[in-house]
Amino acid sequence: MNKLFKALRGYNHFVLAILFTVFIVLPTGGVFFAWKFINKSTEDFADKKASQTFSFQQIIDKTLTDTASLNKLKDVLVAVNGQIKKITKDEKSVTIELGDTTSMSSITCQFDNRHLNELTSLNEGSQISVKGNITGFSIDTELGLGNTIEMKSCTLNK
Amino acid sequence: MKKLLFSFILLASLQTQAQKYFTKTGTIIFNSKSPVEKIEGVNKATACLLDTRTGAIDFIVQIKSFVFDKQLMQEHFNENYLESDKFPKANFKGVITNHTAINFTKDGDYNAEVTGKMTLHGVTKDVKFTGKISIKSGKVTITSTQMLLLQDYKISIPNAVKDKISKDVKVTVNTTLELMK
Repeated sequence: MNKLFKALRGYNHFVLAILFTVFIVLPTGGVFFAWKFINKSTEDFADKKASQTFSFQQIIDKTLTDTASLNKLKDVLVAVNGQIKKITKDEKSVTIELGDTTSMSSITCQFDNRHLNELTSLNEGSQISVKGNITGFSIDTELGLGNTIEMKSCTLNK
Repeated sequence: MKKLLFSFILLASLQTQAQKYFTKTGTIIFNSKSPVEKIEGVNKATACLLDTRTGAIDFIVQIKSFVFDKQLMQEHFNENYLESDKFPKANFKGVITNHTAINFTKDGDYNAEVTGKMTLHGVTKDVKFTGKISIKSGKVTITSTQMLLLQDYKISIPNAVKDKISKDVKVTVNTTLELMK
């Protein structure tokens, strides 16, 4: 270490500052930003505004009449107002199915697990407004499961 | 006579319907070993239908519905590995070969053997799984853990991370089905 200080003594402060920046600050910053980029969590949509809002019936009807526009909604943050048909939960997750008892068709919403504490008062049969990313849809003509739209990263639409 | 025939047909159709169990919120976990970090995607919107009369069982999975903790991992899973825009769904269509040995009306745990065709990443393969079926309070829970070889489904690992990512993935199914009314 002493040898290093002796060797550096001959340089002026400006050169030392450049050396310090090039060999210490930039690599450290680079590693820090790379680490942050790699470990970035999935996007939290709680404070984002949905680009479009639909009623359950409006959007589920698109599986019958307008799949082209439904395809365009994939990966898009949308809000859906509807009735809770079923709540499936465990200690780490909540998935809600929107729909009604007259049809097998439904929308499944996988909730963002960072916001599960906001869901304590939900009940099956009650109305909800939820927003999330549409991940895909199924049109079932064979199994009797009805048509399904799937959403993830969901939060309450306040 | 007509009334009797009608009642018989109605009863028969109800009987057939009562043998189907389903869910749209089943769980499938995709887990890959890596010396650097845990790679785990969870899909809690898996659709499954089971016909206890024939043993027929179907799973439908939207690939983009898998949720990862990290954004980059989720992007790589969809864009580089499973190519979910090109192959948005995976499915399994098969039959529980020993379904007659399972009493779906009585609480208990049973071993199940399943054969069928699995389609993933646009590739369909004949597969054979084992798992457990638990009957409790009129609900059917299916659990199974299987290893899938990525190259079987033409899923390639980029050269840059070839040595860091396992060539097979663990797929865990845990899904509770309810009677279809």
